[in-house]
Amino acid sequence: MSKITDSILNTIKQKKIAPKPRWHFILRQVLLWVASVASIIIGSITFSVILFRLVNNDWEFINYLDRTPLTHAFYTLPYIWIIIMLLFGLLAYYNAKHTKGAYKYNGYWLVIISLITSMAIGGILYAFGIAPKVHMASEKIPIFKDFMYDRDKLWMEKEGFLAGEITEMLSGVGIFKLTDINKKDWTVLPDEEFMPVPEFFILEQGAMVKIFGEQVSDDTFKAIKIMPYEMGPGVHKGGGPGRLMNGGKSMQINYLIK
Amino acid sequence: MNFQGDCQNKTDNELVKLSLKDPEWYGCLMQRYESKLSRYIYRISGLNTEDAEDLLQEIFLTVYRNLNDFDQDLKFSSWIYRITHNKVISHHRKVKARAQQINGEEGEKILSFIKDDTDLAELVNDRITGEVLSRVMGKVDEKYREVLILRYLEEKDYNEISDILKKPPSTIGTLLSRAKKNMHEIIKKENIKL
Repeated sequence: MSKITDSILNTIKQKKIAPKPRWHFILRQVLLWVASVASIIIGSITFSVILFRLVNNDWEFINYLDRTPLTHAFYTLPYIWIIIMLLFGLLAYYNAKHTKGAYKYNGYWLVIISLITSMAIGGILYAFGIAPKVHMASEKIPIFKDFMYDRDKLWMEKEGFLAGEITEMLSGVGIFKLTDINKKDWTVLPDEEFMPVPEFFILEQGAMVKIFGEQVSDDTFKAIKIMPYEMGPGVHKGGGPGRLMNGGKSMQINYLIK
Repeated sequence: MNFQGDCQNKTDNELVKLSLKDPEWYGCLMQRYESKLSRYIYRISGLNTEDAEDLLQEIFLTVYRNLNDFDQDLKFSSWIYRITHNKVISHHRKVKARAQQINGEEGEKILSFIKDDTDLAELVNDRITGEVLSRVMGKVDEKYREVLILRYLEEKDYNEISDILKKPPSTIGTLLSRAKKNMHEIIKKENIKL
């Protein structure tokens, strides 16, 4: 027996060194996989919110905003969500990279696969209407509110813009009572240039709408174009009190995809 | 029990399982790898004998502590080389010195591989000796050197090198190809000087 072998065997015996238990290594692998899967799920939820924000980015009002599509995109992209998605994509990659045998695969492909998986699952979550719930919940977190483009502000402050919830339908097309985001009551009337609302959208009590038009008196607004304030799966489309009239809770009522 | 006599007929994987039950069997594994790893450490680190021995002891203890982490689908030799590689790297980070040591005899060994290599064969002429090649190896970029050592001196295949360095086999292929290109350039330069 060589000197080194002899010395190590003696050390093992004297210091009573024992191999670390198998569960220790199994647990580490399990934790890495759990962390990878959790990162992908968080990345997916994030992607569904990114989709939601991109759909509800007021593209259809861009002509009234005096912006080019590029500058509008620059102002309104949900940067914080994009950063979160990339971070969790990279975290998923980092965790996956440390699982057994992962080194056999090219690192770039692991990054691409983890991001594509997040996007694919995120697309499914979006279709199931998860995004508006997450988006609403995130708005209660100060950091999200600070870093996100403030749509409410735009629709309440820019001249000719108004957003709120229909509280009562009156007789005639495009005539209704509305409570705006700041809880002020309005009567909305159609302007002479009023554009018909798209077929998929029904003006009814509880629907959140955004209106481009003109304020004609202290509490009357003439509408040229009316669109749903938020679109996509999971959005409350009316038929009952909406989120403004129900303390933010109504999103849970009538929340089915219509 | 006569461990020394018995271990000759046992595979590495069998010895790992036995070592987990009785550390005496671990002696067989250490004896099997002692000289190979000492040589490998010397080649990739350039440590003196005493330091290399200390490092080897540390490596053997780490291997023993982590025996339960050994994946039976892997070759034990790849796993122990991987741990050695990692230990040398972390030792290198501590002492900030890492020189490669290839002697003339080993240079001859690499030379024989090069002669069979279509990418490099054209460069081999009478003036290139093992001694020259050991000098060439000393000038090869550090990031390529280890892959050359593993391939030509430790005689590991692509999959084993992939398991040792924890890099995809395709990356090992690329590294070797770049390493050869690097050697190509250095040999050309050396030839001019000769």
